[in-house]
Amino acid sequence: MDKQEKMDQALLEVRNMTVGFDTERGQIRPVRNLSISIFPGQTVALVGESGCGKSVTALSVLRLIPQPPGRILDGEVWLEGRNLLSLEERQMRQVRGKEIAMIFQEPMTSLNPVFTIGDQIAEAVMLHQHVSSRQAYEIAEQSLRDVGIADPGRRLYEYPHQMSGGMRQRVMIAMALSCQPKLLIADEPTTALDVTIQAQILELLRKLQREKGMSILLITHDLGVVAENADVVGVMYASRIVEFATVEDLFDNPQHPYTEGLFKSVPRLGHRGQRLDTIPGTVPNPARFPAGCKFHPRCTRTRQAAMKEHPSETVEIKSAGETANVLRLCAQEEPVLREVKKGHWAACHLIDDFKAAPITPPVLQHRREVVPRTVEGGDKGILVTAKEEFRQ
Amino acid sequence: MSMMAPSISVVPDSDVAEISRSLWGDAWKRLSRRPSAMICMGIVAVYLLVGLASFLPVFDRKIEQAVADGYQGPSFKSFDRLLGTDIQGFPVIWRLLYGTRVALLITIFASVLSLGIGVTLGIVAGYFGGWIDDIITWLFTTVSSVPWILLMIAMVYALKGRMFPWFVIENRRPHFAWAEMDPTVMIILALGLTDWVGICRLIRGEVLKHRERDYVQAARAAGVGTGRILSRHILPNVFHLVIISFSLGAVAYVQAEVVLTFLGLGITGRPSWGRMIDDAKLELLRGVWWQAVAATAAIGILCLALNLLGDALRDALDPRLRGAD
Repeated sequence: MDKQEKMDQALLEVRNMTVGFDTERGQIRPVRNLSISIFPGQTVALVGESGCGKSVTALSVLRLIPQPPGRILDGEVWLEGRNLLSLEERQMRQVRGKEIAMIFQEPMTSLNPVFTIGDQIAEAVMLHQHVSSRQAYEIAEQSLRDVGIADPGRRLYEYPHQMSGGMRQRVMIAMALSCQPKLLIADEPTTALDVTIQAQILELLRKLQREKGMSILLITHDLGVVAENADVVGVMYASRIVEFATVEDLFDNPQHPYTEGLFKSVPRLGHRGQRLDTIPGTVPNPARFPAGCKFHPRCTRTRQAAMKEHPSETVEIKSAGETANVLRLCAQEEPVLREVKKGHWAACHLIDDFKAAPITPPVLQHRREVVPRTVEGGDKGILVTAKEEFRQ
Repeated sequence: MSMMAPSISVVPDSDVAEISRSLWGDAWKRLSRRPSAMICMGIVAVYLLVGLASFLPVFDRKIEQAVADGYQGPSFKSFDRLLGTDIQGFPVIWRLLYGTRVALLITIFASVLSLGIGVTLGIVAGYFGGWIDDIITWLFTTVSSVPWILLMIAMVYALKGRMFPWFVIENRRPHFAWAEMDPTVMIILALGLTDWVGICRLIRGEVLKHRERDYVQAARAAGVGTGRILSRHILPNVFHLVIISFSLGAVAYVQAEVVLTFLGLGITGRPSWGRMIDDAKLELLRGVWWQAVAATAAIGILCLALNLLGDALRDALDPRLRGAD
């Protein structure tokens, strides 16, 4: 297989995955019918509010959801021709850390407090590579150097409490990359860090991705992070992907009312003295998903459409303490993800010609052109600068 | 922020440039700053040394050599008579020193047994949860619902006078033979098999907390297996509880030996602190106080030192106090 062919083949392919959790109130499904493909060298972002299922998706790919109560009810996860869901636990352990590595949101608690940094990285190395402990330490030192930690030889012998949050996240990244994984799952890698450190870590991830050619599944709720790093974006709402497109396409031309709402709720530079738009209501609890489109109780688009529609086609709903009229269609039938435009998927009845759009698996090979930039820091809104870049 | 160089390497803060200290290093440093803790540690060390020395054969001879008439008071005439003599004229000082052997044996082995059971069950229950946790929780709630002294006495009665296969060395030939259980072994078993509840509950709770910590999740995401997560990641994080329990448990074991022996269920055939107090209960009526005072003082000083040391260890190892100094 030549290199180009390899680049054209999806590294990770999640097909129609549904995850269930058994609770006292019955089974809930934090992830439903999710499909996503990640190509070599690509960064795919999953965006959504807390509780929309994006972290469960990430953990399910590695089969790390607590079982019981969790269970992957349906679907397949293909990694280079192997279905991870049918592997033995022992084989799965070989995948974790070696083929797919993961970094977490909280660098302050992701490192074991009683061992040195070097011990922990070396442990990860020795699990997957047949090397002596001295060689493992050398690899650990090199990977600390790779993530831009000064004086790595000494840092190896330090404990996590001697480091700042940004440094610990670098250590986590170093540990994750020490075995040269093909895919890095980054679950909100910058959420717990302050803005300047965020920018540094994002820049670091981009740089390492360029150097090592790995893929990244980036889980975040921060549109600024998406604009900075993602090639392709899936917007998740209430356990499903509701919109899937390239980052440029999504920012320029959002199709789903939820995505629109997200963009409106981000502050912009130069707009003084206006109230920020918010999406009314809250994310539904997975135990009490509404019927029909999961977003209809909060959706402004269906309300506006209902005003023009004949009353027989609308229903009255209660949402966030108010009553509102929405389209009967939205309240009763859940839209599936359709390719509404070439290379742009969305799930909303009110998109023009939605019924006629084909149902295709969301696959985008797009990789953005590399724009080498230096970090300028937190005084400029990251989202705005990045969006400006696309517009030009 | 415009001054920030394009390079993204991180310059180490100067204030973290001191020598690396581990959790245990930190704890030791904090402990060594408390004079009372160091004194207690010294006292415990002396007991430990005497206890080890008391395995020398000279002790076995000395406790059965009458040095004077019975019930002679303490005198400075010779070391043997420093604490007087008992009813048969045997030297109390040697009986007292020999008693540390029994105390040491019981403390070490009962602790190993009870901590071993408690820690293993606690970690398994806390980490795996579900029905495994249910069974272990049921077990330790049941055991702890019976007053431990009753349970222990019941166990001693159950073991007493029964024949067990023992590994014995006779005429330099090791072989198995049926024999009655040595009272010391009996007390060790009774203590070890009843006293694991406290540490088990403690460890289970702590493991429940650590199980959900991100570093455990991170270890699993790196492909670390369950056994390794338990032994390398969780156990070291809860091990300070084991040390504290050991220090405080030792007090209880020394006392339990005395209580059981005083009740006539414990050590027979050789001197122990419990036996000395048991013997002394009749002597006291006749004004013979030295044996009672010697044994009580030996127990009292050891228990005080262990208690204070346990407290100091708890403070030194408390993760919440880390970085406070």
